[in-house]
Parts: sequence; C-alpha cells; structure tokens
Amino acid sequence: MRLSTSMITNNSITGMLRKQTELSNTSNQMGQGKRILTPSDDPVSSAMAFNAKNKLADIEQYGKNIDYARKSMRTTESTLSNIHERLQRVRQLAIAANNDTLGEDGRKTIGLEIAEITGQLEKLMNTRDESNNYIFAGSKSRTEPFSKQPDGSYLYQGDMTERDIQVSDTTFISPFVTGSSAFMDIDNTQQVRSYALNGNSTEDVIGISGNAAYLESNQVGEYTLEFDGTNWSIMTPHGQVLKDDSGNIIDNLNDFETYINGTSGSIDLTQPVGVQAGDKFVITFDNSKEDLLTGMQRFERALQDFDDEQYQKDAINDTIAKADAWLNSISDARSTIGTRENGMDTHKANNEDLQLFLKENVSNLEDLDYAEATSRFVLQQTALTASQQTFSQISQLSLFNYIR
Amino acid sequence: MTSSLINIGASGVRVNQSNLQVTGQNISNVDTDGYSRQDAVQVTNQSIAWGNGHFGQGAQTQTVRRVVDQFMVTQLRNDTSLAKEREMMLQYAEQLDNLMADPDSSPGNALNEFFAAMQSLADDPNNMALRNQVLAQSDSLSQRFNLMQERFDDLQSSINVQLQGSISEINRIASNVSELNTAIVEAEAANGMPANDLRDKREEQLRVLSEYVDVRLTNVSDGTVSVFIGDGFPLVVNDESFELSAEPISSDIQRLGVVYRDKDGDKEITDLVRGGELGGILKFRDDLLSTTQNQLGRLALTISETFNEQHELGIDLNNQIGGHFFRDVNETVLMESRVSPYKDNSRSTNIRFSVEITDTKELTDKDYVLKAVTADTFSLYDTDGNPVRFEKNTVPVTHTTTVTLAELNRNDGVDDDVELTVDGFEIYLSTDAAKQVSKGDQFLITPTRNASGDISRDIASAEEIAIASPLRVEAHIANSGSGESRGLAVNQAFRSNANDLTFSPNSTVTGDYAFVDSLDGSFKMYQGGTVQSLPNGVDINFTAINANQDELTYQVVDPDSGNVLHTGTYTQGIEQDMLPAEWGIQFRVGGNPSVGDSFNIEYNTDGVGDNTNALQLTALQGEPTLEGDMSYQDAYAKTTEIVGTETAEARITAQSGAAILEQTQNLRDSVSGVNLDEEAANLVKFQQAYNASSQIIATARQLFDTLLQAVR
Repeated sequence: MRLSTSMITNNSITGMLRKQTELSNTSNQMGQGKRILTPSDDPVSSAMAFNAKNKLADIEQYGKNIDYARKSMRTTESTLSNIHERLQRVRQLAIAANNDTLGEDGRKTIGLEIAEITGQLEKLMNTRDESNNYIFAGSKSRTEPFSKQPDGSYLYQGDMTERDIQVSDTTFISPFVTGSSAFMDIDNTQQVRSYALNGNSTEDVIGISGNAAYLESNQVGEYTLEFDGTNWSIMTPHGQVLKDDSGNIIDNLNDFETYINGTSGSIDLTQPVGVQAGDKFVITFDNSKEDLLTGMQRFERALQDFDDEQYQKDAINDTIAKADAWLNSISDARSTIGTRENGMDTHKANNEDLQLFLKENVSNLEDLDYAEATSRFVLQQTALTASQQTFSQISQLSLFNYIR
Repeated sequence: MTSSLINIGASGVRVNQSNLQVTGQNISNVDTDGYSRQDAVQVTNQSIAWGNGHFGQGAQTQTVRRVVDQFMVTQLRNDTSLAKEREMMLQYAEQLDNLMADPDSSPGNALNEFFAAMQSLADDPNNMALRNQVLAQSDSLSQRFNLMQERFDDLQSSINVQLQGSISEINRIASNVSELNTAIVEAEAANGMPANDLRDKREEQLRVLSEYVDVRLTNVSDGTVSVFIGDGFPLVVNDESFELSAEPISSDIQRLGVVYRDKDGDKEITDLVRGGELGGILKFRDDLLSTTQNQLGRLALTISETFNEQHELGIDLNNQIGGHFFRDVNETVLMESRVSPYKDNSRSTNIRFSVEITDTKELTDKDYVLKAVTADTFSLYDTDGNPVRFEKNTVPVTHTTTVTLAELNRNDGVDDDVELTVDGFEIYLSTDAAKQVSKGDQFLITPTRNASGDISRDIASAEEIAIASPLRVEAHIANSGSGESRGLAVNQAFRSNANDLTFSPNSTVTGDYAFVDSLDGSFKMYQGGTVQSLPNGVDINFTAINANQDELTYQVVDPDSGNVLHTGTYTQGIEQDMLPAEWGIQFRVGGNPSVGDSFNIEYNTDGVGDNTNALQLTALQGEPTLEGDMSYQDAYAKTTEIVGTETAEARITAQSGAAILEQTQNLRDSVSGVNLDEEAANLVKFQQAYNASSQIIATARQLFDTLLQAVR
C-alpha cells in the first residue's frame, strides 16, 4: 500500500493519543481504587453494586435501630429489676405483718415502709428515658402513665401500644413493655365480701347476692358504711364521702347498688337484721384483675389504720398472694424483654454476616485488582514510550536528507 | 533534422519543467486539508512520417490531473457523518452517565439517607432532633432531584446552542459550495481543463458538511454538484443554495428543531435529518435524554405521591391528620404545566387541559400527543404515533380511542362523572368557560418530564410529621378469653363537612360507618344520616355464642350512646377482619375471645410514642411502587443502568466509527495523499530529465556547429 506522509504522522499521533487515554484511565482507576468509575464502564456490575449498597445502607440502619432498641431494653430491664427488688421486700413485709404476735405499732411501722415503697414504685413506674419519654406509657410517651388522681387512687393514663423497632427486613421487635401489661394486667380473685365491725349491736352483716361489674381502680377496695337510724353514711376506700356521678351524696343501700352495678352488675344488698344507729359495716370489692399500686394502697391502709378488724386481716393475708402475682408479672415482663433481646442478637449476627457478604460482593464488583492494574499500567506505559520512540525515528527518515 | 532535435530537447525541457512545478506544488501542499496530489500527464508529440519511418517529435504535457478515487471520497464523507454522529452521542451520553453516577449529586444516595432518617425517627418518634433530621434529609432529597432537572435543562439548552451553531455552519458551507460550483464552471470553461484545486476545495467543504449532517450528492455533467439533505430536500443546486434554520419544534417550544426554508413555505425536517453532529444531538435528545428525564421525573412524582398518601394516614404531634409531606403533585399549576399546545395550532384555540396523576404505578416514561380529530373529538397518540386508548370509568370499564369535548369537560353538566384515564393519569379541561378548538390542533402531554424540578418539601415544621396511627386499640383489661388484636389499619381517611352534618364523606358505604376525619383530626361516625363524634371511640363487644361454642356474635358499638354500627360473627380461632372493608379502617382479631370480652378503638390522642405510620412510611422504600414491580431504588438503578448501557454502547460504536473513518481516511490518503519521499525521488528524476533535455539542445547545437565547420 502506498503511504502518504501525512498518514504516517497522523497514524502515529492517533496511536499515541489512544495510548495516553488508556493510560490516564488506568491511572484514574488506580487513584480511586475502583474498577468502575461510571456506570457505563460496566452497567450490569454497576447496577448490582448499586443494589448491594442500598442493602448495606438498610443493614447499617438496622444496626442503629438495634442499638437504640438495646439501650431502651437496658433501661426497661433495670427499672423492672428495681421494681422486682422492691416487691420482694413488700412480700417479706406482708409475711411479717401477717404474724399475729406483731402489735399495732409494729404494723403501723410496716405500714409506713409500705407507703414509702408505694411512692418509690410510682416513681419507677413513671421512669423516663433520656429523650424524656415515659417508658411504661405505651404510645402516650409524653403522658405520665401512673398519676395520682384527686381522690388518691391511681389511674393508668398510657395505652397498650408497644412500639416496634425494625431490626431486619421482615422482623420488628419492641424494646418496651407497656405499664398495662406489666403492672395492670395482674390476676386477682373476683369477690365481694361483707363484714360487721367489732362493737356493733348485731353480728349480722349486710346481705349480698349477685355479681359486681368490672370496677374502676378507684372503686375497688373497702367501703365503710355507718347506719344513723334512717340513712347510711358511706365512705369510699380512699376515705371520701361516696357521691354519684352528679355529685349527690349516696346515703342508702339502693343507690349504692346502682353505683356499684353500673351497666352490667347485679349486686343486691339487704339491710342487716337488727341494725341500729351507730353500727358500722364494711364491704370489700375485688376485680378479676388488680393493678399493683391499688393493691399496695389497700395493703398500706390495712396496716396503717389497723383496728384488728377481720377485713383488715383479710387484706394483709390477701397481700401475700398478691405479692406473688406481682413478682410473677414483673418476672414475665423481664423475661419477655430478655427473650426479645436474645432474638435481636440473632438478627444482629445475621445482619453482620450479610453485611460482610455484601461488602465483599460490592468490592468484587467495583474494586480494582491492583496487581492487574499495575501490570496493565506498566504495559500501557511501555507501549506509549515505544510509540513515541518509533515516531521520533520515523520522522527523521526522509529522502531529502540524502539529496545534496 | 537538427532543428527537430532542438525542438525535441525543448519539449523535454518544457515537459520536465511542468513536472517539476507539479512536484513543487505537491510538496508545498503536503499538509493542505483535502488536497489531492497532482501529476502532470505527459504524452508524446505527433510523430512525423518519413520514408524511413515515423520520427517522434518529443513530449508535451497534456494536462495536470488530481489523483482521486471518487468511490473513496464518497465513502469518506459517509464515514465522517457516521463517526461524527456517534461521537456526539457519546459526548452527551457521558455527561449524563457522570451525572447519574456522581454520589454527591445523584438522588440515589439521598433517598437512602432520607429513609435512614425516617427509620431513626421511627425508633424515637417524638425526638425533635430526629424529626428535624427527617426534614433536612427530605430537603436534600428534593434538592438532588431539582439539581438533576437543572442539569437536564442545561443539557437541553446546550443542545439548542449547538444545534444553532451546526445549522449556521451548514448554511455557510452550502453557500461556499454554490460559489465553488460557479467558480469551477467558469474556470473549466476557459480552457477545458479540470480546475483541480477548486474541486479539491469543494470536496473538502462537502466533507466538512458531512461532519454536521449526512448529505446526498449528485454530480451534474456541467461540473457542478447538487447537495440534498433529509429525504431529498435540495441544499445546493448549481449556483443556488438554500437555508436551514433552527426554530422551536411545533410540539415543544423548549426544543429547537431543523426547519427547511423554502419559498413554498417552511418545512420542519427535524425527524428526517440523520448523521453528523445534528443527527447525533437529535438522537441523544429524543432517545436517551427524554427517557432518562421522564424516568427520573416519574420517580420524583411517585415518591411525592406515595409518600404523601401514606403520610396523610398518620397523625402528628398535635393530634392532627398528616398533610402533604411533599408538594402535592396535583396542584393546579402543575397539572396545567403538563400540557402544552402546539405552536401551529389554530389562533382561535384557547382550550386548556389539566393532567392529573391518578396512579403512579401505571405511569410510563413516554410523552403523548392529544389531537383534535374534529372540532369536537380527540384522539391520543404516543410520540411515536401509536394510538393510545382512554379508559372510561363506566361499569364495567370500557376503552375508547376517541373522546368528545363534553366528556373531557368536567363541569358542563353533561356526562359529569366521566373520567378518562390513560397510563396512570387523567385528562380533562382546565376550565369550562373557553373551549375553542379547531380540527387538527395538537397538544403535547408530558406527565413526567419536569417533575424532578417540581418536587419539594411542603410540610412546614417538624411537629407536623405524622408518625403515629390515628387510632389505637385496647383490649379490655377484664377480658377473660384469649382473643387478641392482630392489627389495626387505617387505609383511608375521610373529610367531613363542618357545615353540613348530613354529608356522608365516604360514598362507598351504604349504611352506618365509623371513619377517621381529616377535617379536625378525630374519630367519627356517620349514623342515621348525620356525622357524629365518637369521643370514646367504638367498642367491639362479643355478645353471644352459639350452641356449638364455635361462633360468636359481636357488635360494633358507640359506648356513649349504645348505638350499634355493625354486627358480625366470629369463628373461634380463625383470625378475621372485624369491620366492613369499605369503612377505610380495619381491625383484625385472632384467638378465642369469650362472651363479654371487648376491644376499644379510639382516636390515638397523645399517642406521640406510636410509630405505626413511620413504619408504614419506611416500608414504602421496599414496595413495588413503579411499573407495578419496581421500588424507588430499583427504578433509580434501572435508569442508571439504561444510561450506563447506552453510554457503553455509544462508546463502542463511537470507537468503531472512528476506526472505520481512520481506515477510510487512510485509503483515501494512500491514493490522494502526498508522499515526500516519492516527491523527492520525482524531483531527482525530473531534474535529471531536465538536464538531459538541455543536453539534447546542446548536442543539437554542436551538431549544427560541426556541420557549419565542414562547409567552411
């Protein structure tokens, strides 16, 4: 083939430019440590790496979620553990108080300690985390869950929603237990008991038939009834004069029935035979469930106002059984949290395995093989040098050099 | 005899002088673009016949010719056109490729960060720092999309600038060629010899022309060349050249097209232009840029719309139903911006359309053209000209290819309930007042094109992020059975009318129902023909059990009034939905409840620690929200992959185009290019011949002298 002079030059230049481009590409790859600099370098691997990186971002977030959940679980666990400790003391005190040899003063002393513990429990059950959220309030985390009402009773203000934390693509774990499940949903024996107080003119008690409705926490406990000859003066468990919803004082057994029965109860009360003015009676109501603080208050009242009355003795006696139920409920809550934490550890380990695998995957897809790149770089460098040398040699070749 | 020898010598001197001159010309043009090497064609003179034979009379130069292979010249032009088209395509595709890959500007990473912030907020829903973090990340996400739109617009305008430049170059070259046509005809008429250098110039001009656009040539016998563009539009004929101009294409004022100026009227030939820079730019703009821009816009639309929909099913820190998190995709101004009339529409046409996004799952990455087939009926086409069918909301659904003006008009009292949807959007008249339209009018519909620029955060403060569920469920503490909640879902909120309590916000239900009211953020019921509040929510009470002990009757009751909204049966142990599907809320129960057990559903007032809706929002990340099977990230990855693949392909074809061009250039140069060594050898050769011819004259003179001395 015939060559023209410009062809010789142009082809050499084109060749050198191409080799320079290749060299600069390799150098860029080595600078960034990446085989794929833009998607077009390898669209398929690039898309796979993109997906893997999204997955990695998810897993990283799950890791943060798990850390948050663990922190919340620790707070919950240590609070429950404190409560558990306090309740063990309550159980000891209940057993001690049940000892007949203990005098009135001894009981009062125990009563004072119980009042103290009740206050401590209230504070523990209203524990807040570092973001100022009540941990036992369910989703109403800005509302104090166990707040003392004007009448002295405790009302649960939280709800039953347990917040779920995502710890893997498909798994959600709650680091919380609600106050409702830990401190409210505690089994008790539903019963209505009637007592005549010491020193009455008659041994007879107020007759009871039928069942009570499920009562509010401020309705549970012992009602003191005193007969004045015609009417009854009735005091609530929290020591107030009993009034109906409209604020009218309830002064007869029929209205008391209505108050207790609400919409679904069927309690029927009958006046004791031979009752006279000044006689005192007590009726106690127990729900099928009783919350911890109400139980504590009932125990405290029985001890502090101890008059050697049967209802007070029953209350102290009941507390031993209740304390076991309380301890069980707290233990259940602690083991729930523990089980969840174990489950979370498994997910964390799984996530970490997957993370390792994905990182390897991404690295295989887009990272540069330095050994290969280095030898490629040297080769391209050699080729460029060779082109440059060849060009300088060829450009010196001209017949004109020989025509003199 | 002697005089003839002198003549022969003289002819040799003349011929070789010419040869040397041509060689000199070749040497001095060794680097001239488009120069074809020349040689002087040397022939013998007419011999003289004597009795003893024909005696040659020396040599003469017949003509100076260019060494050219016409086939290769044509091939070179075609290959230049091809290589330039691919080079342009690559140049622009690489810009897009870099844009999509850049981790600092691409929305892909911002999307991850946004959802990560959302997840952190789900862990701790009333943490204000985390709430503000979500706002900041949503801004960053929107800004990335906006930035992409800006870059698309930049690309669009640089394409426009380049298009204008190419077209003015084409016009300049066309006028050069026509002038050269004239010059060549004149020059060749003078002596009948080829005007080599002018022809070289013309060929070079035509080669440069082919860098801008693919042209077809016809060589006319008078020496002129006719140039045609597109499907045979003459650019140069004889000494006349025609003009192209860059003007907005009729469908789209943002995009320039190629218009052919003709005395019979301008013709748009954008779609007919191929090859060269023009072809490459148009191919990039109409294929890759449009697709990428539309796909990314569709993603922005989908994120805004799906996120908003879910956000509007949650409640914020103030117990209010969530508002638009991102700017509403169906704001009036946005709906109208998706339709633009063709610029050549009839002047009296003042009709305006709105395009409302109805289902992001169905959206495509296409643009559409709505055409008035008559003054009263319309048909829809995609931009490739394929007809697209409307879906009409009749029962059952019907499909139609033409619709009437009345059907497109929502408020004229005729066919008011007609909804015409196409691929996830609905078209209707913006206003019903003015509806002047002429047959043949067309409207460009771009549902997704500008959406990347329209996404922005709408929510004003961090407290308004709606993380909690509007409702909560509680099992009554005294429940004795093992029945439990298996999930409470709010699928739809409704808006009642504060002034009209008889207004039923949920038209799909017949009879009584409970609903979440987005008017004031509350739980209400529609009962006995009026909207009433539910201050204590509703109770689900299990009231009776049948003789076989396996089926319970339950009632959904307003605990305040005791009014029953719904009665149903529950089979023991079989998880089931407790509320009618049309209510917009759903509650599932499982296990074995006992008679007397109850659940309460009420408004989640102060449920600030609830993250139900946050979990729903983060779950959107993995949901198939685009084309029915792609998540946000899948869609972004797909677009990136398309751009990457197209760029890789453009790179390969550009390389092959360049290689082919190089080969053809080499072939052409091997025939027409100047080789200095060859010329040096010729120089020596012709110099020697010149010397020898001079020697012949000297010899003839000596012979003559000898003869004269003999006679003396």
